[in-house]
Amino acid sequence: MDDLAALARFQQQFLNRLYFEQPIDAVQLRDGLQGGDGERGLRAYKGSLYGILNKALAEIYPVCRQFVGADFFDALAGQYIRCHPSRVDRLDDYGESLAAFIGEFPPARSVPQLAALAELEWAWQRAFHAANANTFDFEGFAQATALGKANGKTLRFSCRAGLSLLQADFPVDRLWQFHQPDWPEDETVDLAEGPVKLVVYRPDRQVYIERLNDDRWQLLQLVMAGATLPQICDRLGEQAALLLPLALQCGWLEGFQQG
Amino acid sequence: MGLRSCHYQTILAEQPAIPWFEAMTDNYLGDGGQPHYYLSRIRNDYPITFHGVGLSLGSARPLSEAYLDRLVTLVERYQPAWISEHLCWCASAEHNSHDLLPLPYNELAVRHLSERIDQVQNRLGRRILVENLSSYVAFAESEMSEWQYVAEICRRADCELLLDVNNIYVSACNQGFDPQDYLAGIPVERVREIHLAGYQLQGELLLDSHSQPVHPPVWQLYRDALCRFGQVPTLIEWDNDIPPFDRLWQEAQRAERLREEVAVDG
Repeated sequence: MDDLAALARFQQQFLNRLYFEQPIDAVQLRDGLQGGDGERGLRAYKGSLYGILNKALAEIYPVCRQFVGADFFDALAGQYIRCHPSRVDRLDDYGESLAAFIGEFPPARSVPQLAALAELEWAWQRAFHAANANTFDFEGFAQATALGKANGKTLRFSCRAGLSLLQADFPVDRLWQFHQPDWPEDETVDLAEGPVKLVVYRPDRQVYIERLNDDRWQLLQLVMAGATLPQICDRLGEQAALLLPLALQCGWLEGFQQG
Repeated sequence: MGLRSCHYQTILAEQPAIPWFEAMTDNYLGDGGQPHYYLSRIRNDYPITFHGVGLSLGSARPLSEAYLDRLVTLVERYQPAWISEHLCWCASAEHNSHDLLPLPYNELAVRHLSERIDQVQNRLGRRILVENLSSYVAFAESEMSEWQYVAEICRRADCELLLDVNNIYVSACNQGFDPQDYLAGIPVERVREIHLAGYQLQGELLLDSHSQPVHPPVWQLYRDALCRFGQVPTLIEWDNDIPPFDRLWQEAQRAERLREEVAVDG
């Protein structure tokens, strides 16, 4: 085994120990003057690793944490970390699958809203860190769709970076707002209000969570699926002439490509 | 001072007379939004440096090209006075700890880290600073002291050193060496910046928690470091249970007063 392979083996064993309590035999550990076998040190590193990832999840999912309380959230996060050790380079990218994990986490059955809330917070996080928007090229768009230039037959719109669509069978947006500092004290949330369709995006520095009616939802779904301009017009009929300018005005669409 | 998002508004509103801010590289690797908005505004008024935790210089796996690309973009955009990283590894081929993990102090680690630092410096077109760790375990495979290891890496990679005095103290207590030996073994000309922070006692181990004021023995060791290394720019790290800006500034001013005292005493 060459040096680099030995180093790789040691590092994988070390992380397997911290994440999964598996043994290390690639190196011999000790923990200083006391002549210990390194157990205390390994426990310290394990505590540090779980603390770092728990803190990252708490920062990405602050409303989930408020909703279920710190103790429940920390227990959930601990289980998640064990089952889904980080494979990402950036801590901001860790925890994408938490909503799916919650859906299969038995103790979370008592809080059926939690998975949708986590999905919403992940979408918020994506929008928060997304690239700033480019200005839509109206002149180029006019040229691309001008008569005699194939009328934009192969033209496809692109959504703003970090824009997400999500739906829930209860008003998850209201539940999220309920946990914001500016929520009026005397207002409550009616979780029986019915299903919602949402768009999450960041047109400037603030992230927006907005409800969509069925037409707007369908438009953005078509755009995200890569539908061409004629396909969008076919599916939405006359509504397309109203919805596309609206989508541009709201800043949901950022650009377009030909071909 | 370390730049933390909870202090953005205070910094912009009060424009404190701080010589420079150190931004955590990893907090600005996203594409856009508020982090870059605030960093741009603060960069308009202050010099900044970048301090990274996620490059994983000591990993056996190749350096992340995506991470390096983002670092290059950051450096081009914000023109930091310097860039620092840790003498550690974070990730294996499969998993990432996002923590600062040690290597045995031996020829293999020295060679590997030196080559990787060289790779980063070539990519950035400039020298970087590397920071010594605090450690909670030691390896039977170590062949040299930590200070010999740090000094040799700096020599081979021709990089500079961010000397974390709290980390020296924490490791000295955990591993049972004399921190004065550490200071004496570090080449003076390599030290470009000093970090101070608070530690936390967990059982018999000291942990580098960055959640407390700087402890008295670390202040004393800092004085000793100033006597050896001269008027090195110094930064207080406080990343958990972050206090209000004024409290952090008090801590930074204490470091500044100590620097002035040592300068006067010669």
